[in-house]
Amino acid sequence: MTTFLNQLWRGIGRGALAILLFYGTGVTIAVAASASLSTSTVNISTGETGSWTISGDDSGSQREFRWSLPSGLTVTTGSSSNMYRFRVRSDRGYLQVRTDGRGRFSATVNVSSNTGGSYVMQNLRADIALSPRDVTINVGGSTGGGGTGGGSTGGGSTGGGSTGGGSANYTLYIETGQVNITASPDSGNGATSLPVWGYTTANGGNGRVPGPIIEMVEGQTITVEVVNNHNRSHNFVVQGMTSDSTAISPNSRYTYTLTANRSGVFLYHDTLNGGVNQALGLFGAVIVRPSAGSTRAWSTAPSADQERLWVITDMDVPRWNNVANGGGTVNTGTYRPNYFLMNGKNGFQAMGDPDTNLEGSVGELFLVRIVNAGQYDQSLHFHSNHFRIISVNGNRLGQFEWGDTINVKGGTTAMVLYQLNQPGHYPMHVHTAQMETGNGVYLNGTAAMIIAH
Amino acid sequence: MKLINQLIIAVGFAVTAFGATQAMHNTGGGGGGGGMGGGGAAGPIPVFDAQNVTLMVRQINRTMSDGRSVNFWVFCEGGMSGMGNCSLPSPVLELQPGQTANVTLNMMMAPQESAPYNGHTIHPHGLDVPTSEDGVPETGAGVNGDTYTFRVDSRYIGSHAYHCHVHTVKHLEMGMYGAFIVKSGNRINANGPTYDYEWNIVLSTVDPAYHTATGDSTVFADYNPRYFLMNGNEGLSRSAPAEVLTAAPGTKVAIRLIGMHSVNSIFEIRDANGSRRSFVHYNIDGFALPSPRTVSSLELSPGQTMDVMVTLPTGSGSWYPEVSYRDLRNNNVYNNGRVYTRIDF
Repeated sequence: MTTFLNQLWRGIGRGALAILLFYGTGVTIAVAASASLSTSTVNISTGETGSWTISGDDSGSQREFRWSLPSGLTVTTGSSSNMYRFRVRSDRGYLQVRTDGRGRFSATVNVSSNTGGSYVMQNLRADIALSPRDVTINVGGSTGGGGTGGGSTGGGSTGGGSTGGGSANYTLYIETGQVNITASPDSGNGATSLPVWGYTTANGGNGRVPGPIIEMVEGQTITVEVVNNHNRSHNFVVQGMTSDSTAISPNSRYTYTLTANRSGVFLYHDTLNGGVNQALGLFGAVIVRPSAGSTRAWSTAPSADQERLWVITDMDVPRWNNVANGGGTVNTGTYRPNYFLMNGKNGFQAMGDPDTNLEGSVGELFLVRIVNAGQYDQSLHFHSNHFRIISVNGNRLGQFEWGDTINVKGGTTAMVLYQLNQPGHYPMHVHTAQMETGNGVYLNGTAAMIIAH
Repeated sequence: MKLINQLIIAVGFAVTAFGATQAMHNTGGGGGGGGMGGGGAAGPIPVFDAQNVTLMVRQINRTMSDGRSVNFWVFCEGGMSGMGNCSLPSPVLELQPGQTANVTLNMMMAPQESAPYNGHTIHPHGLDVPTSEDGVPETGAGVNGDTYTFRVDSRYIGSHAYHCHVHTVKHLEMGMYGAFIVKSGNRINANGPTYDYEWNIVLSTVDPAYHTATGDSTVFADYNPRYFLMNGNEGLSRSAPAEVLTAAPGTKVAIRLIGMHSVNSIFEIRDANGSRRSFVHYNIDGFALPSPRTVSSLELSPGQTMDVMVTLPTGSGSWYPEVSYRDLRNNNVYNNGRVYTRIDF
């Protein structure tokens, strides 16, 4: 407990510093917030490194930008100024640029590739006006992507997909992997790793749980190429969006087409093998926004100050993960999950993850998109404030309802609007016995922190 | 406003400060078993004013329907009567909007686990209190006794809960929970209709293995509930209900459902023929719905509360409010998972 409290206190210290910086600069800045890119096109040869720069003025508030990470393109961070975060989140499938709220900022992004083609870093988020938004990287002058085979769907021609040359917007590789569970800092118990199967953007990499976030805009059509590097058949289906459940044999690939008719959050998953493939980790989320950069759940929903995605799941490691990963046959009639993951993390990791926690200033409104990729219903209880339930079981509510607990059933999605209403540290946790634990270790189950400054 | 246990039994009902009638509870069919140890007799759940109440923690033992004895930890009112006045669930606490709650946890002689899960707290669940009053050890709450002080506004008129937030996976299961009701006269919420009777029903489930396990035991990785309770009683059949409410025909009964259980559940009211009767759903988690809903079935997930109102027929008879406790994976009703109560009118 002492260790965890120390972490929290350090967190408070950081928050206080951020507030001081905000007050120190906020009063003098009155320019309109905007940003621009140095170029929309970078031309390089294979093996050569090029760059582009985002610069602008954040008018005294932290602003965030994200770009997709095209498969086959190497993206690294270069020089920067006045950044709060500037990093490549390959686990999330995006480049993150978050300014620190001190006005003028810039950040230089380096790109290179060993494979000729045309790569588009698609802008996924821009908190303030940004022009241009996307960057096309032409490598070696050859025609893009194509020829990598397998893409058998018609896709592409219905527009929206912004890549050139016919390559998929996203390429996901199915790989084995492991989820590392960290010990409870209170008791010292619980460190282990779990065998999983996951989607990842890294060919030959560690399968990710959950898979990369796929971001779309309402009305858009994209393609997702799935490469099966595993030893059994798999597929990729977006619940409520796609119906193509074509199985991909080991060492084969297939391209699925996604059309986003409706804003919201969707579960993507492998529907094969009686639920075993999904249970082993083959799932993730598709976020569909009403327009690029929008922080509304849909076009007429309230605008949020911050957004979070929580993909939760349960795993019966002894009876499902260990058996399936060892090549055995799972008895799917028995399911007694002993691990409960929040964004693929055990409770103590999730409670230290800024992309999971609801951290900000009092008054900030969070849009929390929740996907329960597991089999158990999870009843999530928030401390400190009631929230508005705006969507449950995948259905928008005509009249928002207040609650402090939301039951997100297995295989469903929900969305809530949670406002930070008072300073302090508060937990968000599942209210159901064993789900608060990781194999019995307290607080290593479904949990996050709510931190208001 | 403190309602004395014996008074409820002697008079049959007690009139609250606001004129509504506090439900009378008879334990059904002699079930529920005699109290042992700390003295936890099955019986009416006492009600205390949250403006000034002191709670202590005691172990009680209950003999369940299969003859097995299970140990519970409960909060007991620790005033003058002290000690013997223990119930499962723990007492009902009441507060009006604008009043200041002062709920004191006295840790003297409290049963507890060893470090790091030693001590106890009180978490005012759903009352949205500041960190200092939230009772969460991991965010700084003391575990050796404290006074929890807070106020709420009229949005909170309805049902909430309180429970220990130390090693919750065990302590909640042990019985350290009770209803916390924010009241304004006999109105179901700030702008809602009035009721004639009110009935607080705490839902809970019991896996006996959790009651003897401690620390980070792998027992806590697998929840296998064996007993299913409404206000601490099993109520396995209509002839042996968990509780009985007696009310006048044609009146309105507010039923407050407080979900301290750890599985899925569905609440329904059935008549003598087994047909479902509709009721009106007013509040979720102690906050008014934008529009009340007439329903005949209501899901209540762990940690949720629901406030409903039912209008009784003008003739005499009995209706049976019931809760079916269900598996978290497939929503199948557990063996012995259907729990009955009864309203006589």
